[in-house]
Amino acid sequence: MDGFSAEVRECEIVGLVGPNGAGKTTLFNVVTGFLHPDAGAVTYQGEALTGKPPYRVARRGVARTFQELRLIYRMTVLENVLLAFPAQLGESAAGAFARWREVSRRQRHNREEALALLAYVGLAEKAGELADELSYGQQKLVSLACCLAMSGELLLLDEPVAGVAPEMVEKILGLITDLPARGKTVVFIEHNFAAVTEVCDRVIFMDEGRKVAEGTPAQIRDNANVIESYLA
Amino acid sequence: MAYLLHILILIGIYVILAESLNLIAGYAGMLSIAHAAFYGVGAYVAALLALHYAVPPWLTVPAAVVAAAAVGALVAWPALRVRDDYFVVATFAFQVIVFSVMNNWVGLTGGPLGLPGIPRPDFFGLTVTSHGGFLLLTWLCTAAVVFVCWRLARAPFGRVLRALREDEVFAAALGKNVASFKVRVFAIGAAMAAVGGCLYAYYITFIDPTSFTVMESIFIISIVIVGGAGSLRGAALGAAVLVVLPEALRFVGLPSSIAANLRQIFYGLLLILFMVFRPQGLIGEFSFRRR
Repeated sequence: MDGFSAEVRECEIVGLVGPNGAGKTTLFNVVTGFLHPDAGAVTYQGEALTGKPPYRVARRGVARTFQELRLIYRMTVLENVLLAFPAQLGESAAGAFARWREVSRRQRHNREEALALLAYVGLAEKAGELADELSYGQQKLVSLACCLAMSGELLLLDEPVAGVAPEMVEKILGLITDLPARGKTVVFIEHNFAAVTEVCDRVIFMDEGRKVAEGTPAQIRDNANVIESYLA
Repeated sequence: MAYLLHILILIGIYVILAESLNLIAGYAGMLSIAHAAFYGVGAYVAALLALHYAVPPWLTVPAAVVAAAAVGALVAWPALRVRDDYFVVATFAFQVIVFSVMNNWVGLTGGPLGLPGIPRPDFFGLTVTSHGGFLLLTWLCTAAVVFVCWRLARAPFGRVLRALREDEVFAAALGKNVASFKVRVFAIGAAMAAVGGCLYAYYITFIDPTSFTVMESIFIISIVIVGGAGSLRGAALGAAVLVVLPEALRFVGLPSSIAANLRQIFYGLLLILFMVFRPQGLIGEFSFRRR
């Protein structure tokens, strides 16, 4: 990163674009605590997140997906989503024993919520299947459902429609467009500029770790610096 | 008849050891060859308290459990910094260290001569001395340990463990404190292994370091691998198979000196064959292979 600075407002959909190696995923890693910056700060809703470990950033309300699509392939789709729910009493060993009834009750409640989330992304009938058995696009939907299960307000999606069949692209973009209505803020990395134009309120263009330009999708598309970065 | 009861008691103890290691290695995916160290810590703590201070079992066992849990947490600590193969080596090192302490701290542990004459367990006036009595005691403990493992595996706790073995980066991104889970599962697994150690100490009434070597750790992980990692039934099945099968060698008519060494070869061969041809074990879920 080279002096990168940006701000994201509540319920915005921001697109993060730029050539390969521009530092987009690096930016996500810094924000989510997978990388610690040598200088600079990450602030979320007034609270400093810099230097916090990934699990603390996640608990604070920042959910992310990965460019290489991470999921627990050997678990069912439903189990993956259940895993994402925060603050589970049954995840403490003591809780699993001393408060088994309460744990069971909350598990049942989480199951219903998880199934509702899967229905929202259109995968209700796949709940019992192993994540490994789904198509790539469906797996991306599962990871989106997991982000929603985390109940955080900021979603950082790393190439949510890359490598996905066209009908699935439309479906995923449709879901992303719907997120601000659910109180979520989205920043997503994409190479597909048409997708970015369709969905984003604002776009940030990065190159070589720097913010080169920022504006509406149309402004970015016509920006001379941007065109030069792509051609260089 | 006593021989049969003896075998059944041993199976009970090894089911405890296998189920507890299964939680660490089969569910959480952390291949550990330090389990005999926890087994040994449990045995020695119970034995020393009973021998020197006449502490009754309802106190020695919790003490042994707590001590082993502390050692378990200590072994997990380097796990927070190293991955996979390096971690296995670190557990190996811990195993060797604990054995060294048992073997060399003569003033405390009796060194290679061990601790003879461990008193029989006395539960408020009821002393367990017979094979039948020990069988009952052992299998009560085995049932308790299996119940604990079953509960933990079925709870969200178990789900996080399975997530850790498959993709801990994803688990962290979902908000799971990976380090905390790793330390906890080690402490819990070690604590349960200590129960096995206490049973062994009270049953044999003599313990020495040779029962808690690296070879013993490898034997326990073999049970988990052969029976099937990540499966409660697998660990129990593995214990039964690996305790019983070599006993069958006795009836083949080999002189006992050869039979003992053959046993080692047999275990080693079994482990290699399973890892190559059937790494998920007889009925397991996890094959220690990285995706």
